Amino acid sequence: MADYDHMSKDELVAEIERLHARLDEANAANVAKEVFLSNMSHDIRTPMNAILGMAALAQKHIDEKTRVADALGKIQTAGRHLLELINDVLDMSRINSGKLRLVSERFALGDLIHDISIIIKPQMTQKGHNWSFKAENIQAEALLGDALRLRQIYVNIISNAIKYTSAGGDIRISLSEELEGELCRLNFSCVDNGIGMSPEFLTRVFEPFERAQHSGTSGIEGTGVGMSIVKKLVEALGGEIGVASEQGKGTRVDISIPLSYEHLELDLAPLKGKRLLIIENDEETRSAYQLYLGEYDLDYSLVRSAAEALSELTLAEFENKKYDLAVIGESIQNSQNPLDIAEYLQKSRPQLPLMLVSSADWEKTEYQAQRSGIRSFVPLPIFRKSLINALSGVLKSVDGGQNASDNPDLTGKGILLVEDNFINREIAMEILASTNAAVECAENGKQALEMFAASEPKHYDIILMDIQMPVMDGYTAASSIRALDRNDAAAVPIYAMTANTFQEDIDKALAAGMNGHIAKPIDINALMQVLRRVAGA
Amino acid sequence: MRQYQSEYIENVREAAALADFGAELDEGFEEWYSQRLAALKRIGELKRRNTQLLNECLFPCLDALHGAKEYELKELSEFAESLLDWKTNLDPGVYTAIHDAMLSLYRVRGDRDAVVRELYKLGMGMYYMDRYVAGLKEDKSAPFRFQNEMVFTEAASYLRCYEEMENEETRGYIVRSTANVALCVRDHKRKIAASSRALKIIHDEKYVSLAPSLPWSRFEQAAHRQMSANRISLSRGDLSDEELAEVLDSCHEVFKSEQASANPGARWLWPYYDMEYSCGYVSRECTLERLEKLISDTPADQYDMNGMYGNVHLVLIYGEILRRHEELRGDLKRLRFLNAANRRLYRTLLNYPADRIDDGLRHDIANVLNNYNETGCEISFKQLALGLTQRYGGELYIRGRLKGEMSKRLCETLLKRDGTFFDDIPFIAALTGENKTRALLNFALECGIFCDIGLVKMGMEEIRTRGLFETEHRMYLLHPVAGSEVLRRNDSTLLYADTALGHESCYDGSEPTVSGYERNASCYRQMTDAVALASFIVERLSQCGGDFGEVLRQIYAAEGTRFSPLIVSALSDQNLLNDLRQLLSADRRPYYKEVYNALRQGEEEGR
Repeated sequence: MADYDHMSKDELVAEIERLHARLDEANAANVAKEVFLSNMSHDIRTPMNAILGMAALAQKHIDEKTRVADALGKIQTAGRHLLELINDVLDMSRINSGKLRLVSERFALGDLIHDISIIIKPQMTQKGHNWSFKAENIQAEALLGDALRLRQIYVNIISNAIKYTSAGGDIRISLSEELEGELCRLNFSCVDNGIGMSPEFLTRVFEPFERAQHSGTSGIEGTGVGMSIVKKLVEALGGEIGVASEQGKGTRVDISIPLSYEHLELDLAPLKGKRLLIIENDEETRSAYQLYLGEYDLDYSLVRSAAEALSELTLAEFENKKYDLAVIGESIQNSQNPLDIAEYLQKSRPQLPLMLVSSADWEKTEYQAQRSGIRSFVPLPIFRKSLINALSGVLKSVDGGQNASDNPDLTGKGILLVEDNFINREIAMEILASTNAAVECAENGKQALEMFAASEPKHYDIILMDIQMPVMDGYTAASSIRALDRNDAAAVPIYAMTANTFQEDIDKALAAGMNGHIAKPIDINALMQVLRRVAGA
Repeated sequence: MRQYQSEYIENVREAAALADFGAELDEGFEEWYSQRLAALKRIGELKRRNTQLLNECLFPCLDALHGAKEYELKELSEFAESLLDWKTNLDPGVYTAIHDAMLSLYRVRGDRDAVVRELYKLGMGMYYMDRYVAGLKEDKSAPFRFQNEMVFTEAASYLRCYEEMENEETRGYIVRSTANVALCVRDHKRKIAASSRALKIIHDEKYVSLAPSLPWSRFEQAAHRQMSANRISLSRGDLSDEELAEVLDSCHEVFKSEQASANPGARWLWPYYDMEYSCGYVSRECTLERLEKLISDTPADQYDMNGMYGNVHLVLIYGEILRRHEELRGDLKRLRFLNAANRRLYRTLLNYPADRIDDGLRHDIANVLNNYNETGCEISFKQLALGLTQRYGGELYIRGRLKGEMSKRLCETLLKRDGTFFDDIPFIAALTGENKTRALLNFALECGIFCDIGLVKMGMEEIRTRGLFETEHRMYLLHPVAGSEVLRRNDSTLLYADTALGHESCYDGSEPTVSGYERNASCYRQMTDAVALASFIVERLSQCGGDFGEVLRQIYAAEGTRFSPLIVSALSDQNLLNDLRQLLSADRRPYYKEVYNALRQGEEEGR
C-alpha cells in the first residue's frame, strides 16, 4: 500500500491520476465483461434454443425417420457452434494464464493452405463472395512450426472477413514470403470490402469481448474474443499483426510470422524429354505455371479450354509428338467441368495420364475423379516444388520399373484370361505380354473355374472374363469363383470384357461379383488402365 | 444386311406401330381393347426377341470387331445407318453403340480418316440421344451435352491437319463437325461463335478448293439456319456488334432463300420476323399479327414439318409472348386467339396420323409439354398432358392409373388411422370430413397418373424394344426432374410437381435419390411417399414379373431407407393388402375404356 502520508503534493496528484486511470480501466473491464456476459448469454442461448427446439420437434415426429435425422443434424450443428464458443473462451483463459503450448513440427505449406481453403470455401460460396487465395512465388514450402495454431489464426481472420462482408462482396487473401537466412517470414494478408471498423473501434479491436456489431442486433455470431486470441497467438509465434480499416469500405489484416524451413529436393529426372499439356484459364494460375515450369525449362503447352486441348492433342498425335501428361485445372474456359473433360480424355486417350489441380476437397472428389481417370491431385494454389514433384511422380509411375513404355510392369503377377474367341485371345495375349505378367488362358467359364480352383492361393492377381462363352458363361463363372471356399476367391479382381453395355448387363456383372467391365473391341489403353490399377494395388 | 439386322429393324418398327393407342379406334371399344392387350403381349415378345438378337448377334460381333472383315464392318455401318435416318430415328442408342465400338477399333488401327468419320457419326448418335434430356435444367443435361460437344470438337480439331487429310469425305466430316459443335452448347454466345467459325471455314477458298466435291452451298445454308436460331438472344442486349451482324446476316440469308421458293414455309419465315421484332424494327403488335397470320394460314391437317411448325411451334411462341408480357394478359383479342390456337394445337397432336409418327413429332410433344401456356384457355395444361399421355404413352397412362388407384387405397388407410396425417398439405388441412377424404383420394389418384409424365416429355417410353444402355439409364433416372419441371410451369398441374420429383427418391435421402427433391421441405412428402410405394409395386411387377409377396418382402427390407416407415406400416392392414392384391390382378379394362373414350372424343372434335 502506498504511503500517502509521506507523499508530496505532486506525488499525490500523480498517484490520484494513476488511481483514476486504474479505476477507469477496471470500470472499462467491467463494462466489457458485462457486454461479454450479455453477448455470451445471447450466443449460448441461440444454439441452446436450436437444440431444445429441434429435440422437441424430433420427439413430435419420432416415427418419421428423416424428420428426426434432419433435427439431429441441426442439433449437431448447434452443438458444434456451442463447442466453438466454449473453446474460444477456454483458449482465451489458457493464453491469459500463460498455459499455451506451441509445437514445432514439419508441415507442407500447400497442405495447410488447401485445408484452410476447404474450411472457408463453403461459407464463401454460401454468401456468394468473390474471393481468391493467392500464393506469390513461394520458395519455402516445407516449414517447421505450429501448423494447427497457424491454421487457427488464418481461419479466424478469414472467417471475420466472411462474417463482416455482405453477400457478393470481395475477399482477397494472399501469401508471400521473405527469406532471411534459415528463417522464412510468412506474410499473410486478407483484404475485404465489408462493413469495416470505425477509428474508435479500431483502437479496441484486439481487446477481448469486443465486436464491431452486437450479435443480438446484427445477427453476426461470435464471442468477440477471436481477434484477441489471434493477436496473442501471433505474438506467441514471434510474429506481428496489423489491421487497417475504414468504416463502410472494408478491412485489411496483415500478419507476418517467422518460421524455420527446409530445402525440398526436386525430382526433375522423370520430366526430362516429356511433353505436358495444361488446361487452365485463370490468369494468375497460368502465370504460376509459366514461372515454375519455365524455371526448369520444361516442355509444356498451356491452353484455356477443352476444345483447345483436343486440338493440341490431335495435332501432336498427327505430328507424332504426343503429350505425356495432361494437367486439368480448376478454371476452364466456358466453365467446363474438369471431371467431364477428364472423362472424355480418359475414354478417347486412355494412355494419357491425367492430373487434377483444384481447390476441391480431395477426400470428397477422389472417388469421382479416379473414375474419370485422374491419377494424381495437386491442391490450389499451386506451389513450385509440390507441383514439380507431383508431375514427376505421375510420370515415374507411368514409366515405372523396367518398362519404358506406357504399359505397367506386372512382373510376378498372374493373369487369367478367359476368352473363347481365338482372335481376341491372341490380341489380348499380345497386349498382356508387354506387361511381363504370367498369363494363362481359359477358353470358357468352366475351364476358368477349374483352373482357379486348382491354383495355389493368390496365384492369380486378376481375371479378365469374357461374358458370352460356350459351356459356361462369364457371369456363372464369376459367381462360381466367388462362391469357392478359399480366401482369395472373394478378393481376386474379376473384370468383364464385353461389348454388352446394357445397364442390366452391367448390373448383372456386378451382381455376379465382378469388379467392373472393359468394353470390347479390346482397347489396349483401357485394358492397361485396369492393369495399372492392379499393379498399383 | 444380315438377317438379324433386318429382323431387329422390323421389330422396332412393329413395336412403334403397336404402341400407338390412337390406332383402330373406329373398330369399337371391345375390338380396340383386345388389340391393345394383344399389342402389349406382342411388344413384350419383341423386346425379348430384340434383346436376344443384340446379345447373340450384335454384341458378339462388336466383341470380335478386331477380327472383322471389311464387308462385315460395312454391314454393321449400314445397319447403324438404318437405325438413324434423321427422320424416324428408330434407335439412336444402338446406332451410337455401334459407332462407339467402331471408333475404338479405328483408334487402335490408327486409321485417321475412319476416326474422323466415326467421331462425326458418334456425335450425331449422341445428339439424338441427348434429345431425351433436352430442355432439362442446365446442371442435369450439361454432362451429356458436354461429352457430345467433345466428340464433335475432337473431329473438328482435325481442321489443323485439313491439308494432310487427303480424303475429301473426311474433310466434309471435319467441316460438319465444326458446325455441329453449336448443336451441343446452350450458351448463346458460344453458339454464335461456333456457327461463325463454321461459316468462316465454308467461305474460305482454301478449304473449299481442297474439297471441291463437297456440297458447300448446302453446308452454307445449314450453317446460316443454325446461326439464325440465335436470334432469340438478340433481345438480351449483350451481343457485340460483330455477333449481332452475323446473326442478322444469317436471318436475312435464310429469308432470302425462302422468298425465292414458290411456297415459303412458316418455319423459315418466322426467324426473319422474329429477328425484326427482337431488333425493334417492328412492334410487338405487328409481330403478334404476323404470328397470327402464319398460324392461321397453316392448314389444320398439315402434318409435315412446316405444318407442325405453324400448328404447334408458333402457337407455343405466341403463348410465350403473352406469358412474358403481363400487360397482354388482359388483352381479350389475343387471349381468344391463343385459346383457339391452343385448341387446334391439341387437336393436331391428338389426331396426328399414326403412319407419320416420327422423331419430329416426339420433339414437338416435348416442346409442347415444356412450353404450353394455359392462361385463359379452355384446354388446361392438365388436360393436354393427360391427352398426350393417353395417346403417346398409353401403357404409361394405364400403369399411372393403377399407381393412382393404389395410392388412393394407401392414403385412405393412413387417413383412417390418423385424420391429420396429410395436414401438411394446405388445401387438405383446410377441409374436413367427407370433403377432406374425397379431395385427398382424388389428389392421390392424379399424383399417380402424373408421376411419370417426365417419360412422355423425354420420349423414353419409346425405347420399348430392348433394355437400356448405361447412358440411357442415366438419362432415364432424370425423368422425375423432367416431370416436375413440366408440371411446375402451369397452375393446373403445379400440385403434382413435388410428387413427380420425389417418387423415385429414397426416403432417407440416400442414393439413388433425385437431386433437387428435399423431402422434409415438401408439404407433399407423405403423398410422395405413398405414390413412391405404389409406383415401386407397379413397376416391379410389370418389368420384372414375380408375385406381390416377393415385392412386399423387398419393401419391408427397404423400410426406412427406400420407403417411408409410416407408409410401410399401413401395409400391416390386411384389408389394404387385399385391396392392393385385387387391384393388381383385376382387369384393367376400365382404364383402357377411359383412354378409348378420351381419344374418340378428341378424334370427333377434330373432324
